Amino acid sequence: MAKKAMSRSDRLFEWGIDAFLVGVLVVTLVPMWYVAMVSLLPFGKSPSLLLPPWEWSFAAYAQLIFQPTIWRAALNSLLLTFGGVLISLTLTVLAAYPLSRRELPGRGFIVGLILFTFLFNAGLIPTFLVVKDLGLLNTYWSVLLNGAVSVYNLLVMKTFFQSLPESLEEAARIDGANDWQVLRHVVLPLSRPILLTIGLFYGVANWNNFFEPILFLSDRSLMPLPVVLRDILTGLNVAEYVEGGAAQAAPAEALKMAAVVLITLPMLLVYPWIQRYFTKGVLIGSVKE
Amino acid sequence: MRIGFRLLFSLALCGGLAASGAQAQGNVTDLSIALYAANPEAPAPPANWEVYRIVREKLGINLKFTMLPTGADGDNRLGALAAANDLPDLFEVRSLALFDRLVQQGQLAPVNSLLSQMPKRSAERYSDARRNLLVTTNGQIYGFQEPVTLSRQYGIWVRKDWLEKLGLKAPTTLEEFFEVAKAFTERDPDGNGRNDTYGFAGVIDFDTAGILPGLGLGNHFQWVYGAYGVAGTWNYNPKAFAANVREANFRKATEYIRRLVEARVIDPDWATMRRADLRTRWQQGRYGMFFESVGGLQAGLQNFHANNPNAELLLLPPPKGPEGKSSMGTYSSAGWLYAVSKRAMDTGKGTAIARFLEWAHSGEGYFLLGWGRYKTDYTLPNNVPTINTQIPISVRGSYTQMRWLAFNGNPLEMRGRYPEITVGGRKYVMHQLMAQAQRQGNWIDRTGDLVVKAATNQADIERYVSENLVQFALGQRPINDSSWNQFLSGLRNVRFEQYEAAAEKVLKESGYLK
Repeated sequence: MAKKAMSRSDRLFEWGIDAFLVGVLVVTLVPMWYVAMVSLLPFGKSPSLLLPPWEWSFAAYAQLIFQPTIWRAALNSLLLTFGGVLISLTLTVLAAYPLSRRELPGRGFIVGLILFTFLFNAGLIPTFLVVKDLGLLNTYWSVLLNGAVSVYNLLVMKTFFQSLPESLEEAARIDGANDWQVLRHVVLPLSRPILLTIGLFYGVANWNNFFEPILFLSDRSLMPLPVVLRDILTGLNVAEYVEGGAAQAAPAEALKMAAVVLITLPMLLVYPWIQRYFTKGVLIGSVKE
Repeated sequence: MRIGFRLLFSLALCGGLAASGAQAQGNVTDLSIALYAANPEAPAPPANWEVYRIVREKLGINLKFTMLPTGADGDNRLGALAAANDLPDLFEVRSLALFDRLVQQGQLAPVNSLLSQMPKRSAERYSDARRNLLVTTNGQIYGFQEPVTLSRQYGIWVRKDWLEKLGLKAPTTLEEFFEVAKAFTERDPDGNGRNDTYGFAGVIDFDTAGILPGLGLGNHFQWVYGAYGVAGTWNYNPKAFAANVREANFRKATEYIRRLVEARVIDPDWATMRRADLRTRWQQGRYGMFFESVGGLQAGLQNFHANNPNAELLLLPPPKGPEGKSSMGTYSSAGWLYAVSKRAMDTGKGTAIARFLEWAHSGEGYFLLGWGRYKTDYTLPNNVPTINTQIPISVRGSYTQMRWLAFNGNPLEMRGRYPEITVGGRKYVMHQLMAQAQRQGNWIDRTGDLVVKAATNQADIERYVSENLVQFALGQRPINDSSWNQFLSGLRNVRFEQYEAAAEKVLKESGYLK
């Protein structure tokens, strides 16, 4: 069908929209570009948005990447991220699915209990005591299990499961499927968008996790990337009495921004792969029809 | 019979050896020590660190060393460990508020009995009765309060090359300071044809790295208040004790800062900048004068000279005020603080703690903890510990993560830590600069400030004073009798009188106010 010719006012409106979106894009990209440019700053140059490529210096990246602690920390972060996603997704699915079934006895009460933890946090000390009494201090389990299930993610996933047609489940049950089989062969294959979306939420949270490792882990070799990068940069602020090697290799602001790039990049690379599921997953999970 | 006797003898010998082995095993004391990382860039010492072996063999201590997270995170961790009754045996405390809380909670053990068990260390570090008062409650000393080693290393640095270019002399008074700052701002000292330089820069900084910030605008502007004789929080006048903020000269000092601001000779971002921003900008060559520590200067020299190849810096004595007074600020003689958990003392680990600390104080322990591996991390030409800079701090630093337990600030140590360096073709003798900053700063010892406990609404008090002074300095509020009196009377709303009264009482009781 031939496209209907647009009126002048429609075209103007579309151009206006385009211009606005380009503006939004610029506002979004400029800070990221600035971070990238400053991370490439050589000694003797002021931070600028327009640092020419022939002046770029990768000294800050080299300084951070070749730190003896950084690769171990990156490995720790990967372990915590993938392990965390696996544990959190498994627990969230196993909690969300039964809670999405109307026939579950006491469902409202259980959801209420879960919501209670969403509204009222136990606090730092009680959490620490629980972790200690379970013998988890200074192990990855303390980071992986503590807060493994996000109530928000659980509710989103529960709502998503509720939105799946019940007839599919009934058909499976007529064919003799039990609860596990229904979950595994019917529900989960239909839940890819929400699994990827929630998985990404958990992944980002675990990748950026900073507070729990420093609270529960005392062995420095177990620390993840954000903690180790912070420690490297700490030397820049306490130059009064701490010897810092990093500051001798690259400007302080370049080191900070390079750390920002290094910590952000992996998650930034993951987003495009999951993007097509992302909007769908969040929207479907949030709307009950 | 003989076979039987031999068998019996062998069995007895084996039994004796086994018993002696068990006894040796039993004599090894497990000791957990938690300190803030001395080298944040470096990892913890490796499991095969020779110190672990030496301490085990020579001191009978099975050392377990962990590093606390920097800043408030470390306080949170210690607080959580205390709540779980799981504090390390010996640990560092950087927050006096946390220290007081742990004492009140009964988590810390008095260390009086340990002092005599480490005679050399106690004599050289813990013999100052007044300093020990900082950690004394009900007559019991609850911590090892170290003397400070790197205090008073701050000062105002001036671009000597700019002074020479503009035909100016280094300022010695507040008036001269103002004129020089004006010239640095308006007369294009860097010769680039742009109006992009400022006479002076400092930031609102309350870091207590060996100096005391006082109420108001923090460390970087104490020299102005010092020029008016009102540096620091308290006036220490036994006849009319009060906070300096009440003194007439305090207002005059604030007016002087406002004058700098209004003349635009100070970086207009001063009220919102952080220390890292200040460092970036002086290294870029934007300031004719700036407030910085010797250590901070050392860390930024390379970038500074890359930006400003012909630059030369001079450390200014604090400018004199109208009455000829001058001071760069106030300082405390108290350095790092270590505490012993009650649990450690109750389980009989006190002697092992004293043994370890005494070992760390001098000789083998001092060098192993303070400087690392001999001939690898450092050498000793002319008895000066000289760091092997070929090994990056990220590697070398692992072996000196416990260095604060060892360092004592002796002259050779200072020469080793702050050596002579050449950057941009210019020679800097860092330990001499350090000594110069300490000597010429007319620093005022206000260690007594630390016995004054924080008020329950301390944050409100500090915010009230700081916000008002910033408003006065920035010109957001006029400074006249009416507005100043309004500011002073507003102190009542944050219960400032009670805070003053409590301060006077404790300062008199502790002998800091006579």
